[in-house]
Amino acid sequence: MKTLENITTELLKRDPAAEVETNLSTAMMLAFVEATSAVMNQTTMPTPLYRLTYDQNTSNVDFQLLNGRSQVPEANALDMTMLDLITAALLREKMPLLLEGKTGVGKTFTIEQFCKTVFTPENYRILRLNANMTNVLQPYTEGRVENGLVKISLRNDELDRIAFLAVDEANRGDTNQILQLQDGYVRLPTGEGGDIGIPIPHYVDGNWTANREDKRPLFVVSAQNPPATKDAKYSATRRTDAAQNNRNLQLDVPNGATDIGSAVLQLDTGNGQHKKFLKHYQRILAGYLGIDETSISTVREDWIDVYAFSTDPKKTACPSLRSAVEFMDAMLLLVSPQLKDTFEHDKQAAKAWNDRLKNYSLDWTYSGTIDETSQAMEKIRKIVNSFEEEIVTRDIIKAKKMSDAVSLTRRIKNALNEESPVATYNNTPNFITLQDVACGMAIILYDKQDKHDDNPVTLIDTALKEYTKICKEYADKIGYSWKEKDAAGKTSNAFPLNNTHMSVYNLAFVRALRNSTPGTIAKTAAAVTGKQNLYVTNFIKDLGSSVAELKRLSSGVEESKPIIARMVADISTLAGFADQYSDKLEPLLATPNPADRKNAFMDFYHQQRNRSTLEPIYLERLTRVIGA
Amino acid sequence: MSKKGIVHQQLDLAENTWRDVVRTEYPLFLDLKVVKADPDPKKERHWMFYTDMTTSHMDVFKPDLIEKLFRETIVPMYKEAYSQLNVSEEELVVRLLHDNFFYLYSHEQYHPTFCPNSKLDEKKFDEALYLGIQKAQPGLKEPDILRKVGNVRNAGWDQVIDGAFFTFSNQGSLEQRINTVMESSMPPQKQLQTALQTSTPPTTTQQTAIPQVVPTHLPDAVVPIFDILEFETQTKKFDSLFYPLSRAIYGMLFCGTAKMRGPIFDYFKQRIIKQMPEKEFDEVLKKAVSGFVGELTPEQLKYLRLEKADFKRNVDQVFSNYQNPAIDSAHQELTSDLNRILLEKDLEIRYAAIRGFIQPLAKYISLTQEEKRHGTHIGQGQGSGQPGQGQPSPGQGQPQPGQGQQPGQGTGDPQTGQNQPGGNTEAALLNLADILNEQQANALLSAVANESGNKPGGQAGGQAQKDKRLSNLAKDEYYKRNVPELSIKSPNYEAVSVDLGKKRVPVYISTLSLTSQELVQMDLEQIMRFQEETGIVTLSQISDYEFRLDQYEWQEKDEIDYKFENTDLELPDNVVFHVDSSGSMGGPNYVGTGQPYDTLMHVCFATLKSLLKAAQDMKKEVNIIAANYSNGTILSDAVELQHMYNTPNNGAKLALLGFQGGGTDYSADTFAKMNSKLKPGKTVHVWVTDGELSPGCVQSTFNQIQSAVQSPNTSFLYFEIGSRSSFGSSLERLFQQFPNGQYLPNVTIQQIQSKALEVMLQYQ
Repeated sequence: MKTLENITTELLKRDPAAEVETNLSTAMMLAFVEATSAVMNQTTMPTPLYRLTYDQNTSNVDFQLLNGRSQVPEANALDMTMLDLITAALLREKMPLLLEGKTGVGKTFTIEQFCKTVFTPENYRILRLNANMTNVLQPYTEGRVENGLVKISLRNDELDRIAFLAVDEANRGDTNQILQLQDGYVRLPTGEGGDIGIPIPHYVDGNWTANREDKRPLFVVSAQNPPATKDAKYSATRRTDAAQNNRNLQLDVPNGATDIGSAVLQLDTGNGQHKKFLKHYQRILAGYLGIDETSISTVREDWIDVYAFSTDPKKTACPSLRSAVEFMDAMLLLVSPQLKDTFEHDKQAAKAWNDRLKNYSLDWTYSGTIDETSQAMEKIRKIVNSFEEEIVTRDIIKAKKMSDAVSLTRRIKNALNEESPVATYNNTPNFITLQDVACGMAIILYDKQDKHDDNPVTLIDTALKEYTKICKEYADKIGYSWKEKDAAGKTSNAFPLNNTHMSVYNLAFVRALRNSTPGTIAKTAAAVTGKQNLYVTNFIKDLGSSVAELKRLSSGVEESKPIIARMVADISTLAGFADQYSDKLEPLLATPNPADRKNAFMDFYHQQRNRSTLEPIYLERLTRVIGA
Repeated sequence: MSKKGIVHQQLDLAENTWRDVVRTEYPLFLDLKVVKADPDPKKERHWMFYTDMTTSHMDVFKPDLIEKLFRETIVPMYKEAYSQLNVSEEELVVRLLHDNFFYLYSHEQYHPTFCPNSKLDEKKFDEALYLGIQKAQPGLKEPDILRKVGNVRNAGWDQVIDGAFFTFSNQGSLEQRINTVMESSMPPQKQLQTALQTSTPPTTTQQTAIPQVVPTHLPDAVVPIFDILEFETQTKKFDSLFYPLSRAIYGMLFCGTAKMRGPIFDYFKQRIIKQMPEKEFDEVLKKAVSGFVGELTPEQLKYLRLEKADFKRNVDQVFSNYQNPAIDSAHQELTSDLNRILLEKDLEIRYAAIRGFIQPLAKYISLTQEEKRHGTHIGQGQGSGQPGQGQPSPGQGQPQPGQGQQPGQGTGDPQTGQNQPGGNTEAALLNLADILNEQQANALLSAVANESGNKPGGQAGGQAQKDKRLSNLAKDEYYKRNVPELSIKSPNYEAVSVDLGKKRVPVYISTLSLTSQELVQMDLEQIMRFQEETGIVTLSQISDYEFRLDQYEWQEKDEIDYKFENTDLELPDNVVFHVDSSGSMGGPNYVGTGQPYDTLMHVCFATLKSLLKAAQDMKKEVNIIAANYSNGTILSDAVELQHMYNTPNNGAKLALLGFQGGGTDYSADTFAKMNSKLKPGKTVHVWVTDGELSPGCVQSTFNQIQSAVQSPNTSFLYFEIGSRSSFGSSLERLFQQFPNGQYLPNVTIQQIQSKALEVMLQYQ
């Protein structure tokens, strides 16, 4: 902890009231990224993987597989190299990477160089699996023979020491073991086990401390040659199975040899990368913090603590904007092989709510039908059928992680290109936007394809187009002013990416909360008739009018119907929830300030979420509408 | 290669513009291919644009003529409308060519995107037209309603998609995208730019004309340009008036500004009222456009938030004051409402609107020719890019108009393609048979089947040829849809192997002898797990210091399972139907009448259907030959069973379905001709008649049958419906010597069916 203590002393000297962890985290993360890149670029050639471009004016994403070929820089394009992705994955919570490529393209070499750069040998392990050595847990176990019986036990000391595990020829290993490591724990058949990772230092009450309860998880990167046959699920060099495929972020490592050419001869082939890395790190960090480089000289002794702090995933985590979440939902609907079933299920839910809410004399049903023989649906089906494995829940998590990685890479690159990277990074909104989700989904969907004959980007663009159109038209219908000025000061029709309010659910919810106040006449009438819960009634009626607006937005376009059916069902569920708990919600909605109403409503919902008796439909659908 | 002229330059450039627009606005349709034919002055048409839903064909055969028409007709129209337009003719020609081509690319793409965007949509659209025409002209016979549907459906689809293009290109993201793309892709047009920079930018989203907009906007009236050029090249009197009337509707609806709407609508009107009273012209157009809401239910109107009265008021206002700029906003509201109505397939709104729209126009639809924009259509493309070919021609094997149709020639052909003469009517027939209720469908099919000549073979040309093919299709469909498939039981139901893929098995590789020191280096957990998983002990202690480790490797092995299938059915290689179509078997309009020949066809189709199922199960190719005899024998070629059953116009099908209605003459050379068509192997003859042969051909026929049954590979079934003839008796005696022949007198249809199948499906 000495380094962190020294830096803290320096910072506090300058400003005794400085928020130590906040000030340090961005600077140390950026210094880590920049130092890694500086050293890696001396020993390895960059491997460009993807170019991601999002056109805000057209709500359109462009995705190019770069296949190791560097491109002429392009404004607004985010080029991601293998190192970018390794770095972003390392900075995210449990995002294991699997690099697949032919022998000699440099995947193992890159991983080795990364290890040698960032860590001392005691903090990383590189396992090369073969027919006789398939035990991935070997760094954490020891074996002996006692009285003729084989016994194995856990090496507890290694659990807190190993920060990085590279598994070469991973498809010769045991799937369950690798999954354990990727999930951050070891469990032996003997019952022994523990969490793996480096304890993260925290500044508490003027002191730096670390405990095993909060660990920077082990970062697992696997590499393998492509299996001989794609169907050879159980051969010695089999394909990684579905469980691993779904967990790993698999990258096809291209052969960039012809593009790199003789440049590879100019690379530094020597050793001592870690020393160089620390030197860069010291210099960069000192520059960012405006402190003397010598006060960071102890980093050689306690680098692993500094590493854990610099790369703590929680510090770079960012929330997803409501529009990003909604778009993701729309996207997942379209890529689902059970699109029609899901659509019918949503319609059924809306119909069921219509029966339950008949007292309100509103139509909650959605009567749209998907014409499965339509050209658009056939094209969607063709793309979905090109995925080797259908979309499963873990893909959704992976897509979220990838979006997060894209968002982080974009912010880091933006910041590092500016004069004041730390300030720029801290001043950049740290949301995952619809743009990031679209780019992340492009990578994930490409990853699910063996052949890329059917471009999944067209599906993403379709979802983008339909979702943003529905959202903008709905906002227009309810009178929400969402248009922003472009760089030239003109009002733009582009979807406002960073607008925290812009989402159908949010707008419908907030508008219903605002319009829940009954008018004087209604109050008087209620006093006479004894009608109860006027606020809740108005809230529900307003949701009903949102449903009515949404139902008219499909314009005969098949691909928008599943999205609208989902929205109708979800908003109907919110109405149903309000109806079911109307007595309890009435006083909350009667709060004068709409913002207070929102908080009170959400608090109430979250309280209900903690109850075991809350109906699953509210857990599933309201999480989308008003958030978890 | 010679340098492209401005027409083809703009055709190429417009493709880029369109692709850039599609990329963002209709990403799912980005993969649409485009094929362009080389110029060919010998072609009948000057240009053609069509799609098969995956490829757009954009053929400009006579670019010089197109350029001339633009210069002499279109450009003056714009110049006259905008007298202040200070640009060179050259720039205006280029710009209008580009924009019209852009519209045409979009038009072809809008078919799969909007209408008909699915098979179901196509069927419902046909049904809407059928019911609408039927309501408007209750006295019209079913085949004529069908013909009108077939002839008008393309124009109906175009009404939907051109309305969508007109509306979308003037509002929202499509308009913006077009502007953005054209701003970056249009070639520099200095003069035009300069002229336009001085003009006022648009104040509304209404499509405005060239001088009033920034240069990136589409010019007003870009949609009807195509139709004006078609009218210019069509100087004769119109054969029918639906197409011209629909163009007048285009002129009214698809010009956003009074400046263009006035002259363009008047242009169409002046041509049309030469052939119809002006009052009638005015009334029918208003009724047609008002008709879009005429059939909408209160529920549909509520969904659309439309009032019929408001809509009709807008129609009246627009038609009454179309030259007045003051009604531009009413026009915008009208076209926007129309677009919402026509794009909404849910709640059946699109179809109700089409039903209403077509009623006032029904009587103007031609019975004989397609009422489409000549030069645009939908369907399987042919000929594009193939210099030397004319207008898409009938498909392989399809008789050319005037050549007649000889069932004995060739292997026949499938249903007529949609871009071939009569193809749309045939497609509509099948769609209607699918979507109408069973009673209506059978009434339509039998009416169409019985309507036109039923003689097999013979000469026919032009319209008669189209009718003939339509009738064949109707007959074929009628029987296919109305015969049951008979179950076939095989004596053997046995296991056959099925490849289930791969499974993993442990395979012993080698044995290691290890010390305890060496042992701890091994992957002990894996060893333990392998033992648990497989039950194979791999590690054993030999002494205090020595261990034995057997090494195994997982390997893939094929995994085989079994399923049970019918086996041992032996099918014939040839089946020959000899059918008696003499007058006693019924009349030429026999389909669905219950006459003997109708019943016989039920039997033949049911037999073929079951035989086909068996042939598919057994993966066997069976050839079918039909010999239809009455005034002599019409003998078909051998046609493979699957093709024979599935296509309506193959020779065997035509021979079978034809009805001669004469005597009972069987030609003396029939078997000789037939034998050369048989493939080696087993042949089953099925002969069905209701009585005697004509005396003059008894002996020759007897000789032919006698010769045939002498072959051990031949089975011969001679059925007599409800009689026992002397010719049959002589065969009975013959078959006593040759048990492979059977004479079955006084049979019922069910007996024929049962017996024929029994013989055809022999068991080994």
